[in-house]
Amino acid sequence: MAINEPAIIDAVSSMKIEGNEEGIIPAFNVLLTLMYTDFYTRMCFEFEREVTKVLPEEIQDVGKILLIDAAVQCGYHTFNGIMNSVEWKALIEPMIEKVDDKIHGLTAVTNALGWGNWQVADLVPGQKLVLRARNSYESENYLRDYGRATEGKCYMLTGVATSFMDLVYGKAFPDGMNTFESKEVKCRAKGDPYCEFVSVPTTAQN
Amino acid sequence: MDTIRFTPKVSFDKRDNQLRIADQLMCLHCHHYNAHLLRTAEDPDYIDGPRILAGAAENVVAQQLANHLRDFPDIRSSAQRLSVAADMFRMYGFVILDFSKADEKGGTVTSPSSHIALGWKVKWGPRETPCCHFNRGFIAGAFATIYGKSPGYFKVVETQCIAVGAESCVYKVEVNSNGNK
Repeated sequence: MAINEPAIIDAVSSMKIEGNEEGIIPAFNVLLTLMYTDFYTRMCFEFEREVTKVLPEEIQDVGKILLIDAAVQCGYHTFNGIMNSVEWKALIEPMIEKVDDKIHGLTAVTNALGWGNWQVADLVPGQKLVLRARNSYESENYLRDYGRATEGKCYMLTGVATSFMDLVYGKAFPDGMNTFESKEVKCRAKGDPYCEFVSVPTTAQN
Repeated sequence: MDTIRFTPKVSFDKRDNQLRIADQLMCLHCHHYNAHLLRTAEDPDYIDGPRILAGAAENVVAQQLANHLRDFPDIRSSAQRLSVAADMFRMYGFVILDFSKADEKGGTVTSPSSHIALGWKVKWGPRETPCCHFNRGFIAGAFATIYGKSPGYFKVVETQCIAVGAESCVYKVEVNSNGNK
């Protein structure tokens, strides 16, 4: 594999990413924010809790589905911006020898964003991606604030896993979104040793 | 107002890939995610999504600013502390807050721009109601810490919003009628 992940993490995490005098962080073709992981998890899990309280049992998953969808939309647009940024072209593109390397490059970038430690466990080009997170902030914060879960709680990472496959193996942006779908099959929040996400073509899980 | 920069303790743990600022775990996300989460929280009319967003922000901001002021005890005056909070807002990419017309009794906070409002407009254009719920929570949390109150003491209402077409976002700050916590 041509991707030098430690070098990418070093380079990105060493960048001085903070607001300019106007309070804007323009980087990777998007407007970034430095945000509290506690804000995201309190907001998302409280939202899910409130929605679940109101909705009938047969559609209790709506909150989870909406949060994963928000992450798919986010990941698809954000990582498309990243892959077309001057930072990507300067730092990561020279390491890419084949299309599959983009998955490893994207994973390396996410590892510099403060989302936790994420690794590619398996990749079948165009067919299947298995990602593992050792310490996702969603699972860690859920355990701390709500205790043991009965199902996976890493909605953001689930959606982002989908977006990686959509961008690398789906139709060209912006027509490839939801070509793949992902499930979190293991989660630290429910007692597993790590969180694991499996992405496959959407039709394969139907 | 004295100008005091927000100069927190920052560390990036390369084993766990965790970014810590003033004793809180932070991460990078962009306007796409923030705008989508805003829309996700607001869409169901059977829950109070704006309250969830503002409440989550208020608590984390109050805690982190308290951590920072604990680490920098020389930042004593309210004016200095407001300056630090405004610079924190800038540093994190939320854009700019002007606290000069508000104090512990309340007042008006103005933002000539807003990451939340800009993110919404860039993605979906103008809207009919103010949307900077995160910023409302940020202001309420900062005021609570600066004036030694608990979260919930201050009530913040966004009266003008760039996403609705205003030139700036304007927030009215009041002491909650049941806010003597």
